[in-house]
Amino acid sequence: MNKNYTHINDAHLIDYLQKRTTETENKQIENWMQVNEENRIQFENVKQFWKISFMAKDFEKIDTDTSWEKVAHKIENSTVPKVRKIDFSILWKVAASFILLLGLSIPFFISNNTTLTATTTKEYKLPDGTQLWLKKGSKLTYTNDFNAEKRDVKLTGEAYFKVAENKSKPFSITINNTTTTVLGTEFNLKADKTNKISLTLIEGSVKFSTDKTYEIIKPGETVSTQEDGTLTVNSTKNVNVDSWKTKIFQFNKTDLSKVIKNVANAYDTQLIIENENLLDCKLTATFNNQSLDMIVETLTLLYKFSVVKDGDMIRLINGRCAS
Amino acid sequence: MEDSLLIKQFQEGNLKSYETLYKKYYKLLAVYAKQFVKDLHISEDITQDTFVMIYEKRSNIEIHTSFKSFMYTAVRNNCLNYLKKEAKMIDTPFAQNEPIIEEEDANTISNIELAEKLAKAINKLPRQNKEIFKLSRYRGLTNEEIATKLNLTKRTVETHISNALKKLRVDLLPIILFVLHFFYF
Repeated sequence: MNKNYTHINDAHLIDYLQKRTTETENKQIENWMQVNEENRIQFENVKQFWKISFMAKDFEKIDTDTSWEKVAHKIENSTVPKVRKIDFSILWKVAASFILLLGLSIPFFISNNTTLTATTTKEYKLPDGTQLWLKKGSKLTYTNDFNAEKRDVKLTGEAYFKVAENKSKPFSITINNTTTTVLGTEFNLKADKTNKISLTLIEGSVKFSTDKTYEIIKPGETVSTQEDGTLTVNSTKNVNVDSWKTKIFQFNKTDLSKVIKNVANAYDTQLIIENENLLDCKLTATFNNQSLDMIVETLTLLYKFSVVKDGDMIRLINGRCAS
Repeated sequence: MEDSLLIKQFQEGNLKSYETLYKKYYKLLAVYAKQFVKDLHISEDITQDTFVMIYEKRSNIEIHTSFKSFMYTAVRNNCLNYLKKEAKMIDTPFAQNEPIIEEEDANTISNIELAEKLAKAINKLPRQNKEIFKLSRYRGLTNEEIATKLNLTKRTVETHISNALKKLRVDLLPIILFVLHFFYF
């Protein structure tokens, strides 16, 4: 290679970098580089290219797909004992035929329904993951095909629901002649002694319907049935609607009559203020998961009651409004 | 698909999502590992083992950076461990007194990522251009050897290589200029 470069191109520069050029050629290239800035940049560019093209070669050599097979194999071998995949569809068929068989042979042995009866206020979890706080004395019934296609339950009494979201399987609750259909939400639903049904929505959206009419309500609203069969919707004034579950009370200049009603309801007891002058006293206080005795003690300190326990009933006698 | 989603899924045990991440970054990481261990077979093994290890630890790891940066660090640590072990075996002191300079490491990484783009660009060259370029750059043949092999004149070979380089440079120019600025200004 002993010729004079009349024109320096990229290939020549590569030869130079690979030290395949002669002394004379080296000189020519070095001179060429000093002619102007443009040439120098071209050289630096080629140099950079020369460097990274070695790495580019490695990219060509690597076979990602084959290497992944090795990696996946190692991963599967090391994790097999921990989790075993179960084919639920087969399991379902087996279970279904088993239940069918049982159902045919001993029809009286198993009931088609599951009933939850709360002897004390208690939290339950339904098969679909819905959380439920059932108030003392309330009942919830669901059929064994619950969560197969639909999620239907029947309620008597009062319950707080935190419905697991599943848009393809609506959750509906029947209480007397009303049906509440939800997708995934939190609400309190009750039938009082006069069979008036009311539902207070905490979160989400709910369709509340009777056989005649329906309402879709928003969080913070309460819908109740009226004697004439219509529905009324109020924005929820009582922030303590779910206190029976949470045992958390927030009173803000609340009438004492209301306070004791809330507390009595939550602890399933009877509280009576005998001094009628005190019923309009205003209380601002927060009780956070305290015992009934503690709450009564606080009220006594504030209003100077005398307390008489009479079985399940607590009578608050005398007293005066706190200044 | 977003890496963040894939990370979440693989941490929950979704192997398919992990495969997607693997196929996206394996080559980059293996070439990166080679900068430490110098041998492509060893660097591929280390990279694969790193992927297996990360999958096994998936529920205990927290990825605060990108998955790519996270893996660069993991692969680098495994390379350094490998070099330490190797040094012990052949009883030569491991040159730990040469700490990794973060800036240099960042340069290496940007060069590797550029190389990946170059590899892709090379494969898009016209057929004969590509063949000649690969013989020259990958196989290390001289222009004369290529000319003999392909029954062309040396001048034709030079023209091909020059054209290929020019085209590649133009394709990747914005990136190259950026790298140059990084180095020289």
